[in-house]
Amino acid sequence: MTTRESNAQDIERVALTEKQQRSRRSRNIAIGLSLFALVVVFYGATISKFGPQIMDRHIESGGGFNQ
Amino acid sequence: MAPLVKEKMSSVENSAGIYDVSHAMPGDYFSLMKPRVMRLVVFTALAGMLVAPGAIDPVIGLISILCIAIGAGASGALNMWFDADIDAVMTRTANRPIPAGNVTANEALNFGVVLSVLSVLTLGLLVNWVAGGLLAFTIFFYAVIYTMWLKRSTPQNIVIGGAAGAFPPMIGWACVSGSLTLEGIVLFAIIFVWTPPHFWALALWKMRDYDDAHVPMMPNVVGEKSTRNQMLAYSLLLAPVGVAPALMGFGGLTYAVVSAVSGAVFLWLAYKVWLNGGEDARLMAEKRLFGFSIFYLFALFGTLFLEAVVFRLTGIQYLLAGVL
Repeated sequence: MTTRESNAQDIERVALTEKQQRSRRSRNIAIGLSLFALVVVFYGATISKFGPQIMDRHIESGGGFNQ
Repeated sequence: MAPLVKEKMSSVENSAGIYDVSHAMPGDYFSLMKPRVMRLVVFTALAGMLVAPGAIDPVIGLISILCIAIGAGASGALNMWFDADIDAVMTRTANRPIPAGNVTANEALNFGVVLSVLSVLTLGLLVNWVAGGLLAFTIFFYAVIYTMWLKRSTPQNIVIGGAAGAFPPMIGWACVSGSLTLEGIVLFAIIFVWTPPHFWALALWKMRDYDDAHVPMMPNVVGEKSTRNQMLAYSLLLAPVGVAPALMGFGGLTYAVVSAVSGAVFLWLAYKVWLNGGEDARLMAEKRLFGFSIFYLFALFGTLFLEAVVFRLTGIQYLLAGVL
């Protein structure tokens, strides 16, 4: 048996009940939705705070970096 | 706090020992934020924001309200983390997520801290640091000054701790004006003076609960008679403070009428509580005052809110000074 196989056997695994799986799935969905809401909030805040001119960027010819 | 809290966390055993696996649902975390308190916070903050002189971008205004609500929710979660032991004893709070065993105290603490930092930083960076600083102070005041210190040590707990609930309209005002002014302080004073008669009306019929939990509420410490005297005194103070926005010119004529009439009714109900002196075993006068006190606050801030909306949409405003 290789060291890797031996380590894999040592890893303790927890078998979750159906209720625990269901609650974990719900929490994951809630965290995902919260993160998405946070993206929307910060996007909206940026546009409101700086206005549409935040999209006006001069691109230096040749340089490729925004000023 | 741990011994009194029910350990209903699911435990999963394997050869290495027992692991606690959370079965908290998102709704449990939402409950940690005390949604009913949040509703009042949002409402009063929005009123403060609309009444304040100046303008705020609607999107930024909406995010400000969200930050204030989440900040209030964070302080609620921190309160539930610290108070889990006494929440388990009182019937009113025994079903909260931690005593019910759905969320661990540590989960509530982490949740509260993360939301506190997020809401304060967002409000400070996005709106202004007067509002952000006030929100930070409100969370600190509620979680540390009130929950950790005053609540278990003095019968004046909710008098001083009431300040935490009084800050939101001031924060809303600061979001728009960027400063602290006398008008913002008057909005603060209305909720601050309103809190003792509101809370003690509840405490009078939940006395045994607070006694069991060893929380020194006013009726348990100084007695019912003294509490009723103080409730009447605060109600006498509340009536003129409630009308102050109309006298100062940032509440209109409608507000003047609503605040004067409802202030008089509030005072009358407090007088009945004082007069009955607990002779009625069902404490109907206290229950009536408690119910009306909630209506009173919604009526005052609701009227300010509506007047501000009408003024901002149409430019029409009828002031008390124009009639007198």
